[in-house]
Amino acid sequence: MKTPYKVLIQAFAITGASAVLALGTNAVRPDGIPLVADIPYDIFARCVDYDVQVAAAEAADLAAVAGAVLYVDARPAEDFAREHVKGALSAPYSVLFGAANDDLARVKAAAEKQSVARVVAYGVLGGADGGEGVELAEHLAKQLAEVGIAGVEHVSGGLEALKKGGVETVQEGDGAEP
Amino acid sequence: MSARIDLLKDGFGVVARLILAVVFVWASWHKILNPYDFGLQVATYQILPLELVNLQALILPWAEIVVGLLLIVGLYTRASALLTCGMNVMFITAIAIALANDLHLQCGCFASSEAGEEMTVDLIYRDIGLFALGAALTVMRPDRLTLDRLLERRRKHA
Repeated sequence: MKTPYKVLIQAFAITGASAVLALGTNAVRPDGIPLVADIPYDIFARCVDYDVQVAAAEAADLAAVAGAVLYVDARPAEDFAREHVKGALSAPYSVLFGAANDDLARVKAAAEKQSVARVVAYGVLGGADGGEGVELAEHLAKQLAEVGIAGVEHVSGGLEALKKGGVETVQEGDGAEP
Repeated sequence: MSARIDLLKDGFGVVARLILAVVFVWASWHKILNPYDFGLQVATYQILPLELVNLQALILPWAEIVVGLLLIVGLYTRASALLTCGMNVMFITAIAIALANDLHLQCGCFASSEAGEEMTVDLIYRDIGLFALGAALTVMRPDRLTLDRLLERRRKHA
């Protein structure tokens, strides 16, 4: 038999012997694992290096172009109901638990359906009493990027900054979209 | 001159064999002792479907240790070296995919996720080096300190 074939056959035999050893040992050891995993492993979440900030004025310019941007509001639902950027989606970001998976999935589906090039997160928690408040937008943006949404950015300064930049908003009682 | 070249080839063969053997036996040890942990590492790469994760996690470490031990004694040296090449191609591909997908994880090459090496492109260079050693051993005649050569001499004298 020619040497290359012999080497290949030997390699297959070694692999086969290793498999027999592996499966045999696994069958008799008390901490053996099932041959086919019955429940998914609790793997680490996908982690994306996110660091994209967009200026409020630029975000406002984008808003003027239909279909160019999808805004995502990181504030609690009641703040969103009071006032939000026209056409924005609500994905409340909890400092403890992050955004809900359902909200992330909804944003992802909307971004894909509308084929938007940029998804801009905004939202500051508190700050109405003159304090700085807690920036939620960057955290939400990172989570949006982690679930695979492309073109995610965030705006600092929340809704106020966007309004100063000229972004159109919808207030409670305007008959706004959900 | 020819004797000198043979001596150099044999010296290289012994060193390459032992490097690969130590690396593969060392790499297999933790995985064999902790199959669930290694299954978790395999799953974390997000390449294989769930149905194949445990099979991979069970068989790969045993293949590593068997190949490592065969290389130490020099039995089926070329076939074992060929298998190290195959495994290194698999490792390089997995690491490249993980890096391309921005997966920040431990490579799971030698130890648990807690003590594992950080995933960097250096791991690919290391595995390319090991692949080169394996490829050289696959195409070379086994060195004279291998059981392969001893058995060959015996067959000739028989």
